[in-house]
Amino acid sequence: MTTSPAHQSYIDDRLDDGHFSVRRAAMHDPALFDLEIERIFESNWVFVGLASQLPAAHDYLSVMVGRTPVLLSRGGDGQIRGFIDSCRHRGARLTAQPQGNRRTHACPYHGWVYDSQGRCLDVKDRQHGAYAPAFEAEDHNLVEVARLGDYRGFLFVSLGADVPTLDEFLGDTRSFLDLAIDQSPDGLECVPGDVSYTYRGNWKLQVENALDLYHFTSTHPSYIQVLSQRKQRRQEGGDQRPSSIYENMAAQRGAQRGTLSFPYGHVAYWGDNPNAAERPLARDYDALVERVGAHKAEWMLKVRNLVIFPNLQLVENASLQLRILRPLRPDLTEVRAYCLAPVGEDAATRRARIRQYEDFYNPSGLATPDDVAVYERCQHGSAARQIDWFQGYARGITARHEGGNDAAAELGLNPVESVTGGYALADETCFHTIYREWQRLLGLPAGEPTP
Amino acid sequence: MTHAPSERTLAARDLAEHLIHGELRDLDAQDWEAWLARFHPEVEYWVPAWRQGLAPTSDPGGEISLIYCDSRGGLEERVRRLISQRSPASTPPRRTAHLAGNVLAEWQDDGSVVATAVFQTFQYDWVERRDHGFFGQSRYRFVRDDATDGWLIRQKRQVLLNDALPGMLDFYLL
Repeated sequence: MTTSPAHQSYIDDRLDDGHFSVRRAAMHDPALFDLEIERIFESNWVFVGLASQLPAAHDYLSVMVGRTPVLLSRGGDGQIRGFIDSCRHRGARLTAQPQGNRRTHACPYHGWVYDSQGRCLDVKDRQHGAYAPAFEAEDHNLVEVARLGDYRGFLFVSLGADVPTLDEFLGDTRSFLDLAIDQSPDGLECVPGDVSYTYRGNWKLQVENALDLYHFTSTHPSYIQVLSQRKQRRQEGGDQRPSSIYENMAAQRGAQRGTLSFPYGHVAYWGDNPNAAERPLARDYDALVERVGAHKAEWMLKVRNLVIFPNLQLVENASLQLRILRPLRPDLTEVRAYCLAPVGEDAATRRARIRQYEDFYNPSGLATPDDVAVYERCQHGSAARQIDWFQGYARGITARHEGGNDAAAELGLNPVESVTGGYALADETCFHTIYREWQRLLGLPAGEPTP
Repeated sequence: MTHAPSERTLAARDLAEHLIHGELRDLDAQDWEAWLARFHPEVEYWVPAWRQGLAPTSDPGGEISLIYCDSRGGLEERVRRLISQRSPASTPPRRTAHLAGNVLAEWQDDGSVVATAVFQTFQYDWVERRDHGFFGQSRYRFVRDDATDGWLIRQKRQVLLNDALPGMLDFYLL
């Protein structure tokens, strides 16, 4: 039970026997958490932001990658670079704000100055400093991150060099990113307004939730109730607020849903959308079809949740949300949330999109607070040391299909595994590939665990 | 230079203080019906988010708000959800103590009263035995209601200064 994490398996992967499970300690063990930070968040690709957040020369974005402050800066040459946000002299973080525009970054402590391409321009009073030649021979520039990759404006950083190319890492999930990016000929933008929150639970609870259909009717009945009352009042002519795709749960229950699992722990979840007309994107559907084709337009209107392991979630039901996860402690996680919208959207559509977004996604809205509350209940309850394993990875095992299926073929994708079923199937096998990748990156022993 | 306030300005402040304190008392008493009755049917109830940390969002049609309702119906939805017993985040509701201070108010040309205040709201989750405080600045507009010969809240805007949210935020915690 108290074996060091490096020597025990946290997953019980025996699908031939119809069995897959995750050890509850995966959500709690502090030594394991340190390993996650070191081997996943500080060694591998993580999402850091959108290029549209730093559009002009010398714009910068200050982010955290694991425990490491990272400065993303667009140089005078137009190129975005990533640096460890730490003065070479005494280590102070150079940026005081999460974003801005600076031609140079001067350290507030001893005044060393760097340009927006990370070059050290000035070591204050260098000529009077009686420096030895050894110092003069050193490179004083900011230290660049090992890898920075940009997929159509989605920026990723890896602090470790031993990673696949970003294209290899993202693989077929790029098609799902395209379904968001191509919603406007001019791409996506972040609607202004910062929203971030923390919850007292493990980061993997949020990873799972974005793909968890099973919880919706039991965690969100108060939201579903609000929507049905709103619909009734609208029909009576008394309510003009925008509707939601979840107003008609009966239609949702009749819809097909599916999951597609990809290499490197990424998963896409999709669902037919019987209430697609409620989507802001549907308002100018003919133009959309003309631009991207009927097939792609149809996929854009589906419910689609994409998890790019470990920290990016792109969630689209009524409107489109981008979430960035950051583990702070085994039992504390930060979520930064952005409302994404097609550039050039008309004002009325944008307004409806924003209201739908706030209703569903805001931590001050009508649905997300209930997710957060249940994560905290999970963290609390699963601390019980008397029970070793979760029973939450078993739905869909007899429905899963190695490789692709019809849905994958429609998009020309080659997933590792795929599942399609009715709304009530609520597949849980999509979590398997996530935990297999998680275990691989941690370097934990695979296969059947020691008791 | 500050002029001495007129009797009329002081009367506006007294009125606003009375209305604000009454509203906050209803929240602390969790008397939701009484609280809702204080709002105009077309109230604008608005908690903006922040724009890159530097300023609150100013256009609810083009920017994100933490909460935006353009009618009392939106508040009624939140109350119903809160007491539905079907929202894990709201069951049981937290205990609260609402404070408003630094109230200033002025009559407007249309007969309404606009007031500003600083708020501090403490919440206590008695199940988890945890507390938290939200604080910020409020702005109200009160209008005369001829039907009841009373005053209704026509606009309420609260700028939350500590906007790193611990899990969730709802109307009664502000």
